[in-house]
Amino acid sequence: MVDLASLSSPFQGMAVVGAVLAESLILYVTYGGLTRVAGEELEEAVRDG
Amino acid sequence: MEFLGVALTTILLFVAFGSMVGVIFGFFGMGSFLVTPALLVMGYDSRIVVGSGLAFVFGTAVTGTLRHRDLGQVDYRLGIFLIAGTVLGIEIGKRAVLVLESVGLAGFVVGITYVLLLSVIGGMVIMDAWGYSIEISYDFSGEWGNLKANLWHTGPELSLRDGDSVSYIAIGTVAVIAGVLSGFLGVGGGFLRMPALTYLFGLSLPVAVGTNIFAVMFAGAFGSFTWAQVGGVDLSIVTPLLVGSALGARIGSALTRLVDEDAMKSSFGFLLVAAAIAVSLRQIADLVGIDALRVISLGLLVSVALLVSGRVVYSGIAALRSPREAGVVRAD
Repeated sequence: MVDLASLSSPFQGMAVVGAVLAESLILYVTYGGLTRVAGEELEEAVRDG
Repeated sequence: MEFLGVALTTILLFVAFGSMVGVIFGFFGMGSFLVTPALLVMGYDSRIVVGSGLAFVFGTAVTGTLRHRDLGQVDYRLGIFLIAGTVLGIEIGKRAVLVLESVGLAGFVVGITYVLLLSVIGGMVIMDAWGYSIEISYDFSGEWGNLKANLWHTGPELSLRDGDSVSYIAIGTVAVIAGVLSGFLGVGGGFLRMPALTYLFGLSLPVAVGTNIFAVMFAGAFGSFTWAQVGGVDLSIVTPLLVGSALGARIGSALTRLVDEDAMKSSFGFLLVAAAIAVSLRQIADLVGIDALRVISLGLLVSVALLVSGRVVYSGIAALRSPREAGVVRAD
């Protein structure tokens, strides 16, 4: 694991921005899939009463 | 037990708090500014509070922008000029915090600013929910009209997507003020930029929302970059908060179709006031050295956030159940 504190200032800044961006994209894709499946199941459950 | 040098209970607390903030953000459209008070009452340094708050705002704005991208509700040209002014403002705000930090006043001043801001906005939301409508005049006639005409139409102007035009000076003024607040408090600044875009620049609400979140994403990226350079972003705080909030935001936004937002408005107002009280208690605890007050302030903030997000989720579940029960009655 990269120790952010050991990087020079601009690289430290870019590493943090990259890490937050990557995490957000991963979460967007992961939760997008999960909530789509959950939403479809919920719609089915409501439709079936 | 620790994970990457951070206590597991702390990580779980951040994930849980992030999910509450996410539900509130997804449902009410605001809420990421609750993170800064939470970090303040937990006793983090002001630079970690503001820097990590901005990194959290950046993360939530990325997912928000992705959700808005297909709706075509962004005025990109206005957004780019807003970003330029906001970036300048963030740098000013950051330098102000660092100057205050060098004289040992950063935590106190950021805390007091937060208390005032949350109290005023929370009070207005509660009064609005209780039917005491607050009329803020945006009728720029007479002297106000002259002032607005002078500021809004001095020098070169930018044509807005909704047909109107506004001077670069006005755009820059709004952007820099919002940026200073972002850099100083670690917030997105949407609570200032949104009224300016709708009431002052005349943008329609959907375009204002899309343009604001577009600007917040780039402002958050710059804020994270600039604060990270001075060691102000703690990823062990930001990562679990984002893990919780990304899921919570999806639940909260889905519940807007089931639950009436107006019925929840007073709860949101009380949440803001509770956050102001929690930060005040923390400030008093630091001044007089009473540890119990620190625990009470954190407990107050987390429990009220839990109550409000829980009420939203419970109302959503109740709304889902009621049509089904009605269907059973009809079947009988």
